[in-house]
Amino acid sequence: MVDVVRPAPAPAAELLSRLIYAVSHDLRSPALTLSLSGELVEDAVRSPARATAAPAAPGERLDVALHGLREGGRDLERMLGAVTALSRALQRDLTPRTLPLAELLAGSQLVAADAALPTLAVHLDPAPARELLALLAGDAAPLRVELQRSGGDVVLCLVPALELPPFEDSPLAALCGSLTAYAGTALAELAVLQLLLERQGAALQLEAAEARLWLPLAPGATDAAARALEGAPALAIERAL
Amino acid sequence: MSGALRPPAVLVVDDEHDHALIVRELLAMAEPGLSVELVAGASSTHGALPPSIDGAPAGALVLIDRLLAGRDCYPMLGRCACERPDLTLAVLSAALSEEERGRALAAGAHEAAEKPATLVEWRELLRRLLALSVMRLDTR
Repeated sequence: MVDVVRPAPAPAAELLSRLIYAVSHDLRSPALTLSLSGELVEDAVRSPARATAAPAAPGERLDVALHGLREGGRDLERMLGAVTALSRALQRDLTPRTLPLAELLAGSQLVAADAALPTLAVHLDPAPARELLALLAGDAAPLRVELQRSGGDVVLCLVPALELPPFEDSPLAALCGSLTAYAGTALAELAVLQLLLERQGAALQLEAAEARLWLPLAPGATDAAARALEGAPALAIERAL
Repeated sequence: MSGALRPPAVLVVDDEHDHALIVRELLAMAEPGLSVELVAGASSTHGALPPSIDGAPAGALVLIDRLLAGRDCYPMLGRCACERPDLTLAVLSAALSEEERGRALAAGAHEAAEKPATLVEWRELLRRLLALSVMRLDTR
């Protein structure tokens, strides 16, 4: 595994600025669709003569308007849903606890250069990490996860098995930058989980071909783990847990 | 605007399908018989011009949504202005600040405006853009 630099979380002010911009711009679009569609319905119903003067049949125009009402409402709901999910992720109560990696990654196929790595303890609420791995795994089972120690973190490396829309930076930055493009997609779910993990000192780096997740080792376990790893066999082991 | 004084065609490049349909309806009401083509355009912001724009009739009016699939349309706009100077290019956006309007004009748009919130304002805007494209046809 190539050693990679742990990504720093985007500054909160920058994310907030992007999100406010996206909310103020992206939500206007479905709002416009709703108001214009409503006016088109009114136009067709109250001024049938005017409606029939145009080439499209009134029924067809009504279809356009009704479609606009339906889709505008759905779009608005989709984008508000993404903002709501981010808000809930900020408010969600997390219950960090110390647990061995092997327990966190139960059911996965672990690959580690050091036999002791799966026994190391991490300290976090395991639910968001498990949700993230399950999402990245898609239908692939068991999930193959490579482990590597990096400073006070353990790095999980895996190949995502789900289709993602093209994006730049991280899922969270991408979603905050465009609700129109990403709300309602798997990337939005990943953004929420990224936020939950970053709240706990974890970090996520996601590309189409590889995902890396930095999880903080338990504070008391770090020194002991380092000692335990000294002299550990530098052989690759593969364990199905 | 009389039926004789109008652009040969209007292209609506917008990945907001409902907006595009509504604009087509309004154009049909304002100018019966006017050729209007909808272009999703979402994947066409980089690389070559979308074929429908590249092959648009000379002098056509092109209405382009500022954001296509979450990206600024400016790269495509610049190529349009360079490769098809005969087209009249108008950038529309659900929200357009003065700074963004300036960027759109600098990128090659002949006009840039916020998408109106009422049908009356839309009709007025479309009349203005159709007149602009006719004026550019006349001056060529």
